[in-house]
This record gives sequence, structure tokens and C-alpha cells, in this order.
Amino acid sequence: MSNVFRLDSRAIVRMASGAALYGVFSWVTNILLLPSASLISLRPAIVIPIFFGLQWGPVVGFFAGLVGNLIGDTLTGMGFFPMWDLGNGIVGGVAGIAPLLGRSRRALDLVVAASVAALVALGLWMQRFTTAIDAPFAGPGFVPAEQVGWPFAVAAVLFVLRLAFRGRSPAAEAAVWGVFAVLVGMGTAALLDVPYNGMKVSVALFGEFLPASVANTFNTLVLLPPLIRAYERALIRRGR
Amino acid sequence: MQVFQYRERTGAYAALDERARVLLTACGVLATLVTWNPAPLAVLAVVAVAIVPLARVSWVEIRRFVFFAGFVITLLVFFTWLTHGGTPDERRAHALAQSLRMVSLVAFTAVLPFTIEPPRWGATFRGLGVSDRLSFAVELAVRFVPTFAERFERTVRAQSARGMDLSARSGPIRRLRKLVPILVPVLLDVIVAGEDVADAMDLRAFGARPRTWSGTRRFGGRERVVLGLGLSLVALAIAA
Repeated sequence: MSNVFRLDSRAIVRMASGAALYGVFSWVTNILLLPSASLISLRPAIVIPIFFGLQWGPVVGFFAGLVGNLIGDTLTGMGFFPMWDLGNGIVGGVAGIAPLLGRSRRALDLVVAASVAALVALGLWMQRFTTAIDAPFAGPGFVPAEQVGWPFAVAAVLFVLRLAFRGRSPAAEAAVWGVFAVLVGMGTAALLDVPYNGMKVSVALFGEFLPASVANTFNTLVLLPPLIRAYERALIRRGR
Repeated sequence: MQVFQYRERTGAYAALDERARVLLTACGVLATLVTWNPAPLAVLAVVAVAIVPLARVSWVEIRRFVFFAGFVITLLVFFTWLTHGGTPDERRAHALAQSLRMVSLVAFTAVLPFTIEPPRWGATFRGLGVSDRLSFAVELAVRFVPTFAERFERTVRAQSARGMDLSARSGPIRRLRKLVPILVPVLLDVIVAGEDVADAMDLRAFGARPRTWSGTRRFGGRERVVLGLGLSLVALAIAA
């Protein structure tokens, strides 16, 4: 376990490689923008910090996501959005928990079960607060969008994905880790935008979290398994 | 490929030690984050925008940046205004403060990649107290960008020569899967090359003792004045 936190020359090169690669691939794909409350792009490159995290731990994954996002946004000229840099770092960092837990099926089950339970508890707790809001297009008694049960929806997505990928190849199961990392990272970035940019929780959730997490979940499920399988085959060929 | 948008510049801002520029940006960002009062936010936005011409960054260089950031700011402010509670006056005040905050945050951070030479990022972070290893990882990431971009372009050309057609119309999953033959060879190439770089670092006893950084500048009187300006901005924001 201590190895993944040691910053030796290999870890430093992997951190730098992940960040540069994520930056370059983001630069290439940042032009594919999604309809959203802010500038969220369809970014297949998100699999790179997840891959680096899964292979070499949270420090490498976090650095690849954070610095890679900074590099990608700088190359594209999209500006600086620190909460999203942090969110991308968290995606890589959370994916890096997998090697810490030995990437076992049981660990993934436990993580998903704990997350689902936490999300359901959060959803039930939020139901206690039903207030009317005074906003355009919404009359009195309108239930704010952030209270219509988004934690239940996220919990359901995680649960269904875990069931759908259970018993498949380790590469496919790794994709569930990737989706979990995406939900945590994008959720954190969107929710931090509430105090940071003064957004409503509903705008952050439906305008940022939803498009970012759906697009990145899709990218992760499609691209991560073949990437991991190809890497494992290459390792076998090289005798490592 | 041009790495970032850096080019050598003249003038008072360019003559400053990079650490002073980073600290001014950090103070500006911190000051912006601690207040929602439009008066100090207006001062901060004016200072942030004034730094752009002082840094001799031209309109042509930042127009893409301004377009993207302007688009994001307009969207976020619009959606927040639409959903924010309170009277129309309160909503207008919140929208004004939010716009000023975002302009200030973007402008403070925008000039850095235009004015700090990519290989100087490592020395700058080290000078600010970040560890040798993390500073070197940042520098290495920045140095890797042009190499990886070249590898990416070469792989796309090679796969195109083998008949891959990225532009062909097909469904989203099929289009994403077409990225796999590009992503996999570039990633494996980068990982293998990284092993060589790590070996070279080990052979040079990287990390055995504190690293020396070339071209370290002096944090003199001008830099202290700039730091004082940054701290006064923070004090202004806290006092307001």
C-alpha cells in the first residue's frame, strides 16, 4: 500500500505522463461541447486519469487529472475553472483507491453498497426540506429541483451498473470503478460551484453534474475496458 | 505545435519574478472568493483586467480565451438569475456580483500561461515551497506536451494510412470506439518511453539530494510591492 504514495522517479514520470497525455487528448476533444449550464465538453480523454489512477494509485491519478485538466484547458484557451480542475483530479484520485483495495470484486461491491446507502440516506434526509421558491416559471409550492430525488437517481445508476457488470472481466469491472470516480469527481466539482460561483444547487446539479457525469460515464464504459485489456496484453508481451 | 500561448515579453510585469506573479494571482483569487459585495468585486475585476495589457498580452492572443470564458460566464449568470430566489433587485444584485466575481477570477488567472515560460513552472513552484519532486513532475508534464502531441498526430496519420476514417458517420458508441486504435498505441508508447525517462533519472541519482534549479530570479523590492498590492486586495475584500 505504501508504494502508491511514494514519489519515486517512476511515480513522478507517470504523474507527468498522465497529466501531459490527458492535456493533449483533452485539447483535441475539447471542441465537442455539450448543451449545459457551463462549458462542458464531450471528453473521451477522461479515461486517462482513471486509467492512471487504476494502475498506479491515487497520487498518480489525482495529479494526472488535476494538472492534465489545467494543461488541456490552457491549450484550448478555455480559461481556468479551479473547481473543475479539482473535480478531474478527484476522478483520478478516486479511481486510484482501487489498487489500494487490491482491485478485488468484493472491495468494489463494498464501495458501491456504501455509496448507494449513503446516497439513499442523503435523499431521505433531503425530503425533509420542501420549501417554495420565488423564481420565474415556478409558482408557489414548486419543489426545488435539487430536492426531487437526485441522490436516489445516482444511487440507482450505480446499483444497476454494478449488477450489469458483475461477473464480467476485470477490465469491465474496472469500468464500474471509473464510473464511481466520475460521479464523485463531477459531483464534487458541480457542488463546489455553488459557493464558488454563487450558483443554485439545482443549476449545479442539472446544468453541470448531469451533462458532465452522463458524458463521462458513457466515455468510461465504452473506452476504459478495451484500454485496460490492451495494456494487460502489452504487459504480457513485454514479460512484465 | 506551440506549447501554451507563451512568448517572451517585455515590460514591468514580465520583469517580475514568476513567484510574485503567481502570488498576486493567488491573492486576487482569494480576495474574490471571500466577498460577494459588488464594490470590492468591481475593484478586483478592474485590477485583474488591467493586468492583461500590463503583461503585454494582446487581444489577438486572448480572444479565444475571452470568447470561451464570456460564454461560460453569461450562461452561468443567466441560469443563476433565472433560478435565484428573492426580489428582482436582489436577483440583479446577485447577478452583478456573480459576473464581477467570475470576470475577476478568470482575468487574474488568464495571464499566467501567456507570461510564464513553460520550463520555468518547476522552478517557480519550488521557489514557492512546493517539494522538489512535485515541482519536477509539473515541469516534466509541461515538457512532455509537445512530444505527446507529436506522437498523437503521428498515430492518427499511421491509422489513417491503414484505412481508419474518423470522419465517417456512425453512432456515438462506434465513433467513440474508433478512438481506441489511437488511444492505445499512444498510451503504450508513452508508458514505455516513461520507463526510459525514469531509468535515466535513477541513473542520475534523482532524489538522492536536493535538486538545483537553473535561472532562479531574485524576489526583490518590486516583487514585495506586488505582494503588498495582492495582500491589500485581500484586506479590502475581507473588510468590505
